[in-house]
Amino acid sequence: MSDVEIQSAVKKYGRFTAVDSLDLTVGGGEFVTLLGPSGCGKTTTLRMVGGFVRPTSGRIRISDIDVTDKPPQKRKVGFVFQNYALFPHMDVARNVGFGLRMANCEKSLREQRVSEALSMVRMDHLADRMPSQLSGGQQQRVALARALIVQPSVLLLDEPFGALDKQLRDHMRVELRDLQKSLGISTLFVTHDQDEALSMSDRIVVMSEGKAAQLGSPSEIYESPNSRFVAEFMGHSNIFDCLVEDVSEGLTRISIKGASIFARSPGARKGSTMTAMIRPENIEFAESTPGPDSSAIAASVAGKEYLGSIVQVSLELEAGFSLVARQTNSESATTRRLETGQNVAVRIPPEAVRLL
Amino acid sequence: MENEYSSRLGYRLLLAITALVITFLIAPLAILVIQSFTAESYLSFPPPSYGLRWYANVLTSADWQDSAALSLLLACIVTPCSLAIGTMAAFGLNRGPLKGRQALYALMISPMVLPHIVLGLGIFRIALELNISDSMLAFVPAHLTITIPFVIITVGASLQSFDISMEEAAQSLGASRFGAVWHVTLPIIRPGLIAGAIFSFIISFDEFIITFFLATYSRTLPLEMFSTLMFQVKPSIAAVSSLTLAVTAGLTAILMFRGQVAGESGIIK
Amino acid sequence: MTEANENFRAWWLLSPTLLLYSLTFLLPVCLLVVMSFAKFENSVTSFGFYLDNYRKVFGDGITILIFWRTVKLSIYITVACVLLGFPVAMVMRRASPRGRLWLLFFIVSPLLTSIIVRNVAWVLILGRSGIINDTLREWGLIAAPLPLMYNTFGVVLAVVHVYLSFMVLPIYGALQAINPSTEEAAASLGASPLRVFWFVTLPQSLPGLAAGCTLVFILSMGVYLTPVIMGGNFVLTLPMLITDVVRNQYNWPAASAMSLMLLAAIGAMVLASTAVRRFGRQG
Repeated sequence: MSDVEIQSAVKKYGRFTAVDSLDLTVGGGEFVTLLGPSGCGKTTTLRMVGGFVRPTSGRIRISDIDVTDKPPQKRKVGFVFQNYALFPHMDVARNVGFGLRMANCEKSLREQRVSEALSMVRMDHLADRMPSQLSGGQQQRVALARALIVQPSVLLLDEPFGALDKQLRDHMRVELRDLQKSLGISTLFVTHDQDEALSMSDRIVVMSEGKAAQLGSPSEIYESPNSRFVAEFMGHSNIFDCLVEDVSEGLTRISIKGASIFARSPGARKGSTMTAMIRPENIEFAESTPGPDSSAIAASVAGKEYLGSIVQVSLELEAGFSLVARQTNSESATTRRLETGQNVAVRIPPEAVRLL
Repeated sequence: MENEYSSRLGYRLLLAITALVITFLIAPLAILVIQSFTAESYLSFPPPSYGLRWYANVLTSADWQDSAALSLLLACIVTPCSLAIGTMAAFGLNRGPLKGRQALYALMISPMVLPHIVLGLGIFRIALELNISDSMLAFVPAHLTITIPFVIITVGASLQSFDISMEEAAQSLGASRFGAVWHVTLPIIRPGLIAGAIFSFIISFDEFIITFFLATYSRTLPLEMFSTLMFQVKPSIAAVSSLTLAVTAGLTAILMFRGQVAGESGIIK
Repeated sequence: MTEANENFRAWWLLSPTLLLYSLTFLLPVCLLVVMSFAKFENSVTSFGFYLDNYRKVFGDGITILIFWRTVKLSIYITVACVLLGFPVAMVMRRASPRGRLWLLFFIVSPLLTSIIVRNVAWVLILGRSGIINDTLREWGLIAAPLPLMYNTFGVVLAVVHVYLSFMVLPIYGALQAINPSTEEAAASLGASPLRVFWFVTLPQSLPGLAAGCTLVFILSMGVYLTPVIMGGNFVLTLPMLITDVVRNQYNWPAASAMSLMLLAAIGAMVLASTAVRRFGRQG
């Protein structure tokens, strides 16, 4: 059974297409993230599920009921807004109890369930505070309790961490994910932050120009992007156009600006132009110039960036393109000793290269 | 220039002008109130002796009572109507179609910039044709025409700063469209509503020229004050003015000390 | 919530106002336009397309004189409001939050007190036996009362008292919106305080200044009560003339033509202000 089903949903604003025939099914308590740059249609999609935007065509189903024509109040969805949208004129308890009040829930029962919901998010001690007296994290917990108290069939989150500073964001990420797992509620989450999407999701939909560019688990999305767009959006830096020179069993030889590199990537056709992605973590190098017979490539160090736990080096290859390499900042790391301008031998193992 | 090295002299000059302006604004009203407490039968400043004689005179006079009652009744009918109609319009403008919204807004507040003399002339003519000129049927719509723009501005300003996702949150929690507006939007924009109501009341209570055209036998308070003033300047006029001042100043104080006149009522754009 | 639905809802919400306006605002103005082209002979109005009224208004020498006097009066009032209002707005901007609230109270409270009450106050001060004349006579400084009212001075003073708030508030709003860093930048580039004001502050406050001037000018053009009380029959303005023509002569066509003259002047002012604001936006 699916909790949310989006069937070829389209949303047009005049001549602009915000969402372009999107299909997505969420169910079984999974956590699905809509990820993409601003303007990709992710928020519009979420708002279509919430009932704030009416699709131009296509259907939306929640708990196997077609809700396309239903207003938000008839959908049983829990929506957490980007700025939380807490009612400033009501205290925490009344904010959380609002949904029950709308459902004409009896007062004593309402109070009991409000206090349960507040203790679930560890906010029971602040029940009579006004929203303006709460910190960002506390406001978010209230918004979450308010959305969950009506026992919605799906939880919809619109960039809920946007307003928090980094430390709190990391903390709330874990807290939200734990709560979501323990309740087993299917969740649709919108963000533009790759790290957030990778760390929290069961599945990720990367969106671009209203379409789903790729759908898959975090590791699939990160390790095997299916397009240059997804690769770039996921933060990969070594992406090049390449020519497939030779295809033999297991190994493919490609050429990037004349430099030959081997890739262990199936599906390439000889003579075709493809996109190669080289993972910076897997690039190996030694502090020497490569011998004539070696498979290593000559390069020089163009710059070095110290990022704490890792060190990132930009390499200028003799073939005339630059490459970013990354190493964990351990005592033995080669990168620690590298200097700008130094010549090095770079080896790119076939496993590090992926052809798109 | 707000840094600590900025010209002291220049700023002192500005302060002096400001002090002068505030004296200019407030002193006449203060003098008026003081004079209204004179015990003499003529006006002078400072009054040789004080008493409530003229207040007693005014409060027991049938003419003043009738005109004050008419003005209060009129303002009490106009205020809720103005608030309801103006708020509806503000919602319509705020939530309505994007196309032509600015032109529509300009139309909605245009009675503000139309000279009331012209408005009054036109309304008088229509009322004559309909044979309702000297009645509430003419006074109320005429006053509404000049009060509604103020409600549209004050409520509209509140709505503009109102975060629509509050209403969406209420709806996703099961509130109907109207329920969301009732439980969430209206309480949040209450400052704008209060400002709109107070403006409506004061403007209607103070309106002169349109009613001046329309009324033949009816006398609102401003009309009564005007005809008395044209006839003779007596202490009674100071007493009536002070009483009127008390009503409007009281309402102004409500506006001010809720801190809403500046920002949320939208006078400052 | 389709778009057609949203549209319908918006129009439904606007309909009471539109209905009211069409009866009390649009229809009357149209009627004035029609009447201004009617003929008024022997106290009888005959409708048609006659230019008699306009010929009379522009040709009789009196009306146009009174029109220009009204414009001149409005300009005096507007200039006085700028000179008094700008410094106050500047002080308000620099004041502490508390001080600002007090200043705002002083500026706004006259706005909300009855115009007629404020005029009464000025009569008590400036009148022949008003405070000023009484005091000066008592001290033996003057023999006959000074002509403080029933002249342009009295009218301007009382109208400025009524409309000053409409000047201060828009200017203050514009000043508030100025980023102080732009002024600091100018100072750090060597500009003296006066030049900072002239080259940085003033140009940026132009939209507010234009709005304030437009508002005050328009209101002054239409003001009736204050000139009647403060000016008597010595300062005749166009609104007074219109009222007289209708109430005493029942000459609606002439009054309509004069009203349209008033509207034309106001329309010109609005256009000029829009141009200034557009200019201000472009820098």
